[in-house]
Amino acid sequence: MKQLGCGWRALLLAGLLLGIAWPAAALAHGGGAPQVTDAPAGPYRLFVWTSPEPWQADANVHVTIAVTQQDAAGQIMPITDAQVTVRLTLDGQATQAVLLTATQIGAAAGYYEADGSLPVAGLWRAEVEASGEAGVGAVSFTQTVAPAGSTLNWIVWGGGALVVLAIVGFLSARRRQPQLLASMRNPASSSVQE
Amino acid sequence: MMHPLVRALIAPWELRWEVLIPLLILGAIYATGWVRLRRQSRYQKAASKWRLTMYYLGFGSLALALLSPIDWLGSQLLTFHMIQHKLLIMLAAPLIWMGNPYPVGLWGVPRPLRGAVTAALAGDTWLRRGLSAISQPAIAWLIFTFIYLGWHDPSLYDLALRVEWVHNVEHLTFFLGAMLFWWPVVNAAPHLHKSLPYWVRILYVLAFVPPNAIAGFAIANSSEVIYTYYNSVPRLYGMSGLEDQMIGGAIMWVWSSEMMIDVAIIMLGVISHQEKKRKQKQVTATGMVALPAPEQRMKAAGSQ
Repeated sequence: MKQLGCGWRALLLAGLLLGIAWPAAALAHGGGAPQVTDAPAGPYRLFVWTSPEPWQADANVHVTIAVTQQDAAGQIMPITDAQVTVRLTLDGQATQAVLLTATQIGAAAGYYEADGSLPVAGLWRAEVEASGEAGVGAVSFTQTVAPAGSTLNWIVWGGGALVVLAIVGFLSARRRQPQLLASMRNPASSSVQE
Repeated sequence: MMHPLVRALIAPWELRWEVLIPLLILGAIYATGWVRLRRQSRYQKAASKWRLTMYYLGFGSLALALLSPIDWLGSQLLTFHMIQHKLLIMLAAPLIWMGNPYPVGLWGVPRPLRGAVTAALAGDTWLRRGLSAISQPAIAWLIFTFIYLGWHDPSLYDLALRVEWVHNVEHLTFFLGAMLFWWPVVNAAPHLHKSLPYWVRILYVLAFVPPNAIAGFAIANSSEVIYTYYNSVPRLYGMSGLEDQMIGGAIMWVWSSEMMIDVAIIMLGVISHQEKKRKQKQVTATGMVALPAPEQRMKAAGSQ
């Protein structure tokens, strides 16, 4: 049997390591545009961030929520066992509603995140509700959702431009390669041509 | 109950394909090139075990900065955001250069690609011209310092925290700028310019200390939270916004400045070592001239 090249072996090893890392991996996002900061919501204090900026119809929208509570000593404590939902309603049309259930972020106590997509552009109202042992609390905010495909995806365009540049560079280098090799084999050839 | 910060730090790492895939591909290319070079000779300098270690430590620093909970904590605390930036620019970039990635990596790619890369960097190509222009030490220093200080502008920094792709661009430019900055210091291949004498390298790294120290000092000593995004996060980790900013500014100021001073000391050590070797050679050479050969000495003794 033909022995595997060291390149393939390295790739296989990398794949194996990736396979081991996969179950432990958690999806956590930081940042986002702050929508609600330290707002009282029943027994809790809520923080909400959204991304991307702006939201766009038919594209992924991400909501990060922090559920906290102030203890008797005034210390802010994370609430780790809350049920958090985000209800999104198109302004003036109660029938157009999307319900997202947030899950806890592994890296941070008290943080929850939800993903979803909205079918149409317009002004949407988001109601974030947290319920836990201490009770239920809710906050709301509004978001303007842009029409689908109306915002420029800089990463796609930037990445595309880089790929095009790399291809152009590669092709021009390939064209140069025989000339370079020829001039290296016969340094006098260029002066003869001249 | 476990402290929230400890809990966050021991949490699972994030799976970010845009980081993981380039790391895996470049890591595999380096490993392949290293093995191929070692097959030719186990004692060559281009692919030593030391260089292999440095290269993967550099990759480890990148992974730690971008995939570990440090990345998440960076969006909550300025302290961890500063740690993340230091890992990218003060550890990952110089360590990767120390791994000698260009020649080793060339041996790790298929022959046509190797030829194309070599051709693109040899002779008068746009790639070489461009790289030569931006890698001139003074230009590289200016580019890196501009990127480094520019991203610490409050509006840009806050924007990076709000918008994910801006954050990614910030990290990418930090890393690429740092690669440019450390290139003449480590003097790694490809050599597009003459190697800088060690004393110039010392001046080059020490010149970065004042702008970095001023920026770090200003952040650490500000009486209000400069990066207002951090006012929008719950203070769950036992630090107020100002305390966090003070520690973050101090990390920026002390870590980078100390790193530059350490590098300068190492360079001084190299200069002193080279001088000692040169003197030793000189002494040996003069000793050989001054002392006649043993036969001549015996002859001289016999004639007396």
